[in-house]
Amino acid sequence: MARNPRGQKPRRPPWRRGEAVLGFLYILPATLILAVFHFWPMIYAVYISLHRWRVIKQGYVGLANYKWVLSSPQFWNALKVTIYYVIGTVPFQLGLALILAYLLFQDIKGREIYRTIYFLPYITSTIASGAVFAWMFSPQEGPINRFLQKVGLPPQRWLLEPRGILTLLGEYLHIPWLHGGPSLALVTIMIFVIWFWVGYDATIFLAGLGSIPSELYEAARIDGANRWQLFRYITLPLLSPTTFFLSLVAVIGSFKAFNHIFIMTDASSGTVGGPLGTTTTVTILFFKNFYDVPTYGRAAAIAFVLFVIILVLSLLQNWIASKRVFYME
Amino acid sequence: MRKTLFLIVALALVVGLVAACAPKATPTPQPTKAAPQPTPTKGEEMDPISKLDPSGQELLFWHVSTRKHEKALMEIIDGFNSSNPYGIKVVPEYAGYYGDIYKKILAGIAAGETPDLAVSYANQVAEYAKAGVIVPLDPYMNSKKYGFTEEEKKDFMWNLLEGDKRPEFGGQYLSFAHSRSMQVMYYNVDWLKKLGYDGPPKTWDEFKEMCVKATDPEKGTHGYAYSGSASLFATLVFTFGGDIVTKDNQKVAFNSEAGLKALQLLKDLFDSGCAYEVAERYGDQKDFANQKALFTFGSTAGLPYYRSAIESSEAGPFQWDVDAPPTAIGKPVVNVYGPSVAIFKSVPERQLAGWLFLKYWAEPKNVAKWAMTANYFPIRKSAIELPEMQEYMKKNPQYKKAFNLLPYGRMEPSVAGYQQIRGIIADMMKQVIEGADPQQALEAAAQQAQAVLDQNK
Amino acid sequence: MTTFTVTFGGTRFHVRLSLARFILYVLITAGAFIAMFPFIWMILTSFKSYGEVTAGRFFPREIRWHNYVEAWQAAPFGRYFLNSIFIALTTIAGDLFTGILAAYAFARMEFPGRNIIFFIFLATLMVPGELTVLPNFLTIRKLGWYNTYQAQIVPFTASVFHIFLLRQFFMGIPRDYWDAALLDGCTHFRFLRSIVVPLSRPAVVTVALLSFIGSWNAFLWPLIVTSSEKMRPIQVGLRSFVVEEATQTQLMMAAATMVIVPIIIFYVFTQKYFTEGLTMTGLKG
Repeated sequence: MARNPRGQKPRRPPWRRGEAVLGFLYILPATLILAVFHFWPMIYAVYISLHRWRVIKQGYVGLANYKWVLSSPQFWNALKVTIYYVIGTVPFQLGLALILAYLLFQDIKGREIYRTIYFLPYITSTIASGAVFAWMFSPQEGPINRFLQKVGLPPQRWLLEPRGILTLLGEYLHIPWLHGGPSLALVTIMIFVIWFWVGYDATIFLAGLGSIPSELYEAARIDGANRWQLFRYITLPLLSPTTFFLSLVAVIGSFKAFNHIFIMTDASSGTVGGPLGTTTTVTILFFKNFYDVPTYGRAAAIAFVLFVIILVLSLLQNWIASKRVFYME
Repeated sequence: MRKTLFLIVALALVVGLVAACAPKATPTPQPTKAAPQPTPTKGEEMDPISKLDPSGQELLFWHVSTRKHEKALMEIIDGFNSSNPYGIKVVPEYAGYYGDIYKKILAGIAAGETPDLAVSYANQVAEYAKAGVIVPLDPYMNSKKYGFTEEEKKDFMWNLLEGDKRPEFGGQYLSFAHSRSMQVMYYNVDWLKKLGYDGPPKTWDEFKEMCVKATDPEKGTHGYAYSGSASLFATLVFTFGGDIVTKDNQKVAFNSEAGLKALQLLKDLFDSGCAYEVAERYGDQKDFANQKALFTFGSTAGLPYYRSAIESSEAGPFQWDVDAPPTAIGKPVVNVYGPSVAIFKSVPERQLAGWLFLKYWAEPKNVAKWAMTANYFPIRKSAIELPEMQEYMKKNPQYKKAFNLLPYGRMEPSVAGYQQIRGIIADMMKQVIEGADPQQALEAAAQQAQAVLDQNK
Repeated sequence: MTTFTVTFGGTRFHVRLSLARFILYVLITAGAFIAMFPFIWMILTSFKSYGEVTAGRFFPREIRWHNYVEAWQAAPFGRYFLNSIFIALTTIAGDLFTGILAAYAFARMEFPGRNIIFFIFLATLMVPGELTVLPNFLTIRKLGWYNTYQAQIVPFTASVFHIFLLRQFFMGIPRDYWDAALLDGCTHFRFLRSIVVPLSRPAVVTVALLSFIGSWNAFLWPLIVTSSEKMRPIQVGLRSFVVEEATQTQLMMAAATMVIVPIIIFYVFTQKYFTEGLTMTGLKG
């Protein structure tokens, strides 16, 4: 690793008053904007959550909205769906993205073109991609079902299927105790979501790969490291700040999942968050309480219960990362 | 670890502080509650509205129209701006589609700044009215000087404005609509003939029989391409003689004999395999055009799109038509729907100016123009006699047929929170298709829907 | 090395590749096809007639350029384009300014409460954005910014997400560099400007790209804070094609295709910053 000429780790620069002032000065512009457009709205939203509030404020109710959320079976169901969603998307999207980024970082012909193509899902109109996925997974004439039938598997109802994938598997394999799991509709949406994010995550991984000094590879190569060793002992550790960033952001983002579920359940002819609520994540539930019946107090309470859950998980992630993430010293 | 703990404590402190100091922190605009206004006393003396002078008002009008719809709307607005004797000027602003305009208005209500007029669905207007920003229209409609004449009143098909009238607000009209569409049955005439029928089904039993006959797994054809929605359920319930909520908008009413029959019908259709769920939006239109399905239910606003899809379909064009849905009560019923326009509270003169614009828009030539642009139906009978309307009907035989169904039109409830009830109903339908017991599904859904209605109290 | 013979359009190509390379190409090409399929569908659909869309044809019978003409005329797209470009570019400038400074402070400077402040920043990512619409709308009204550009720019000139991303990259720069620079009497600002930012170019460019796309795709917020088409961005124009009972999919796709051209140009433009392997030789103190 990079060391200074004396061959020992230098002491941190002494903590100086001037630097502290300068530090605050550097974060000041961002803090100002965030204070006005993010912190203040959050405070305001806490205030809303303590009231009965339907479009306009109707009266202080203390923690009643939170009690309502925590005692609502809908909320717990939505939380379950959300957890399925996070587990089903984050590891796959990041794993695939890492592999893809690594491949695209190699010296291959036309890699700029490949990189642009892989970024397309992120910028293609989601109405277009939603429609294409709805068609591909169409129960009647969709290519996916045709393929399944060709290889001798039963066709599926995909976005219309509210039953859990384990139930379906259990029926197919005649294993009676197998049931539950995320609905096939949710799994279909997760496939769409992974498709959407892989190229995007890969772009950020690529930026991370681009920041790794190439001299490190050269030095290791001279020492006789093979390709796997280079990946394992240089790429992975030096990429870990990027990996940490992406995984934290992906977990936070997935807990707030809304857009793609909305697009897919809207592009199919069903109801948003359907079939039978099996794709209703906490944020979808939040939206229904924010707009279908504009009970802002309840909606805000839902948002803050979710907030606490994400916060705790993020702290946990941060704590794990503090042991695993490698920053060049 | 200690650091993390410290972080948690610090955050808890911040959140605590926020919660503690919040209540006094924010001034919120609190529009006055809408007290149901008494209908003006009928008598010879001038009603208060007639004493007002709307001269010189400039009105902000939020709408959802783009392209040809916007062009037609602008013509109507220009016509009003140049012809009204008071110098009232309507300024149109595009505010997004229905979902968007709703969000924009909700934000506007919170900020205490609303437009003078806006397009919205009646149940959304109900939500605005709960926040106290909507003007009931009855005093304006009945005003001696500015209202409708008795003759005009007879010309309107008031059943098409049923949804704008609110029992929760003393039975007054909170919005006005200039056109409506309806849910009709689309059917393939040639195919029916091939099956040996010379007309569309009149009862649900006939419908089911035809559906079963049209279904052929080998060819991949079905009787009915089903696209579930609360509007379809409303159609079914109406045709079994039931209702979605009670007349006073207070109690759920679909958990009745009629509701049960409606769900049972769905169950039968799916159990017999002659109905199937479409997975893509407008997938039913597509399958109908490709002769994969004999029947679909859809809005008359979709007529031109059905026509265009059928004319260019791979399987070639065929004879098709629309009709009222089959019925179990001996006479046809159609579910009528469409957006409305509401007037927001400001000062009496402005409100009156807004009304005068709505009234101008309600003139036969304007409702006709508006209806033809959107392929909707005008809400007054005399509009139909205009030559341009006659011409239009000649070109669109299905439109003409549907027009004759208007007197049988009924509307879904326009109560606040109906959007959520729609979701509950759609879930209930899906449950039944998935094999749930109709009675149980019905009761569970009714209970949930009632909870939504109770929130309105 | 193995020689593969590929026949393409009647011509035979002899390609010398190792087996591993060959598999690599097959994999990334197959993946690329999956990635771009909806994009291709979008472009093909933009040339279809309404009937062809509903009939479910994959290829249009003829190329209807007229869809583009019609789409362009459906809304004042010229004005919308200019607005969006102006809004996006100013947003990027502000976002990079606040982001680079804050990220540097969080990554390299010592000041009391640094980690807590950073985590409070992160916390703003954990609530649904919709929750902020209402209070922010009130703020915009108070500031008198209704129907202005700044209402669409200023709230997005600081992004926690981007600060976080930049911070991660800045932290990856060896501390030795800073120590060396310090010995040379380098100030924080100079170090940031002449070493940190150039070394983190892939990240800075990524942030610019994401900022551009975010701004370009904004719809609901601009719609709520503007009233006239003079101020409105491109996504509002895209909404013109949604009508009741049938979306004019072919026109919408024509418009959507037009709208993403600038993003693709921007992306291709940023490409070279990703591919440049950075050599840090000579920077060591």
